[in-house]
Amino acid sequence: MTGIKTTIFLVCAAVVLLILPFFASAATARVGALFFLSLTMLTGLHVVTGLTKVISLCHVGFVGVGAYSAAIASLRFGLSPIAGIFVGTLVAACCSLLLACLTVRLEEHYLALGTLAAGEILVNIFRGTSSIAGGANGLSGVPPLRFFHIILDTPSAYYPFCVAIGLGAMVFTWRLDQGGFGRSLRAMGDEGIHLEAIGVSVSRLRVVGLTTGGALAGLAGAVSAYVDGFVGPESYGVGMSIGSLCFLVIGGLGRLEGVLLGAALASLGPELLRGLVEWQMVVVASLSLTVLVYRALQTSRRSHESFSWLSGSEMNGGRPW
Amino acid sequence: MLGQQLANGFSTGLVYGLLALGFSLAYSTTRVVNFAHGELFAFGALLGIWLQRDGELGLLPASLLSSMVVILAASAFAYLVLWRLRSPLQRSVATIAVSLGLRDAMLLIFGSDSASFPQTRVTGTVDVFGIIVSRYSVTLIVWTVALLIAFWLILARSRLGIWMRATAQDPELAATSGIKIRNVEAGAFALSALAAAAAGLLIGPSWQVSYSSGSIVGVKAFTAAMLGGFGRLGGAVVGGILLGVTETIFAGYVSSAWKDLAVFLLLLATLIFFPRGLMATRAGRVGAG
Repeated sequence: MTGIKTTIFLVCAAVVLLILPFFASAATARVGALFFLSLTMLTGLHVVTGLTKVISLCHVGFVGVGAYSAAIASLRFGLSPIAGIFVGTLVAACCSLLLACLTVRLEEHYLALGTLAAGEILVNIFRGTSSIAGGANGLSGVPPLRFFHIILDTPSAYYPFCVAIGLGAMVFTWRLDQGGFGRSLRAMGDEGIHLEAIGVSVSRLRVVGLTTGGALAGLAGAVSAYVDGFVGPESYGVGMSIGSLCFLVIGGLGRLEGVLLGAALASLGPELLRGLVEWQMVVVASLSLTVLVYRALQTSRRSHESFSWLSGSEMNGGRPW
Repeated sequence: MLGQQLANGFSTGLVYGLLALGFSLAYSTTRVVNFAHGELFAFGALLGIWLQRDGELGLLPASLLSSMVVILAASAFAYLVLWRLRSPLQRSVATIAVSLGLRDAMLLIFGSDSASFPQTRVTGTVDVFGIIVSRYSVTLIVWTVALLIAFWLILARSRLGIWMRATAQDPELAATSGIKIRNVEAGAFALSALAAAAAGLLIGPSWQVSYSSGSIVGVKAFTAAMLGGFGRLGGAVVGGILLGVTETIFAGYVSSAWKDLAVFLLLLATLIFFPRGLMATRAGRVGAG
């Protein structure tokens, strides 16, 4: 049922959103484009954290890998933007695959720490390699998106492209979620040992999940490099990964609809909280804490048994207090 | 030269050890990897500076007040949020959110300038067995060692310490024996926060602490705790010293620009080759040793 509802919702949303730039100003189109890029990035995080249950603190780092690879591919090697997007996605996926393979033996907190270290390493590399990645100044003058002879250099022009990317990522993740792979991933978080017992390789699943998430992150990053025309190290720090995680938590961790809400917050938040721009992250953090506590209370009221990974059985399940 | 660097590394390492000890303490008792540990460090330091800005409060009262605030905030967090969350992953996400919020709150309250403490009255150098060491380093070492001993005494002798160790070993058994887990968790969390704030107040005079220095310090605390084996408090101190000395020597002989990267690579390498820490034991052992 949820599948049908989601489809209808997505189709309606697509129609409304595609015709939006014909009525709206450039600034609105720009926010809309940002929304779809955040959506792409958050679907990746949804695959990593929502489905594979890995707290990733280097997700935005992989967005950066995608952005930098695309920018370098276009600036240094003269590749066309479309090829650059492929390169960015591929490089981010490879980095993610490498990290997933290296950290395959880690669990829970140790894994989160590993991703934290990886995130910091990535930022240090972006900032430190001034000859290749431009150091602290970043890389500017990335050419705009271009299809053969059509140049997409204004918000209304690149908006449809971002919509296509965002919806494509959304549909891809949705199919992934509904299919056998998504079910295995969900089962892995809740019942890893049982899954292993029936002959499914949990580590392989995790590696595939993390690589998929990294590829989606790289895609978002590569497109954003061409949309913004600029790539700088400050946008890809661990703090940004933490922020994205908070957006996902507010939207509802593990639910694809939550990604929509999270992306809306990420892109519209600065507009909505215009008077409170400095307080934005404080508000986001408090909101996500509230959501966490609220959902935990809800779950514990509904049942003492755990039925989602968020309620967890490991920590206090069956304790007498 | 080497002796001096070793001494500097040792004093910094002791502070890392204090941080790692707090981190380990919270982890073993509450199973929370406190991702906001570094932010607590920065918050303690910045609040200390902020309280001293008019010169009305001296260093000691300001430090005490700052520590009190951090302890209260940490216990409130443990009571209001942490207790409600059941799974370790949920709890980690909560501390991740706190780190984000606290970081930006610090930016708003204390501004973006990196600050150092007004002035240290401890200047000059002393000669220790032929090594010229700044008097500040010596004071730092003395204070940190005193604090570490105090923490050890609390854990080994006090009732709260015994409760904490019991909870770490077997929460269910501890609860059935009448230990109020909620209070113990809050106590452990508060102690851990105190360690972070104290580290910030101690190292503040020599580092340019700013609202954003928390994250990197947090990672260093993780690394030190990791090197020493999670949940082993003595190990945390050893890990801290190891990290401090390695870092100082790396900065002195290889490159100071890539110093932080070296720490992260060390952390990642430790994680990859020793997935449960360098001196891993059964998880959850809190001991004096």
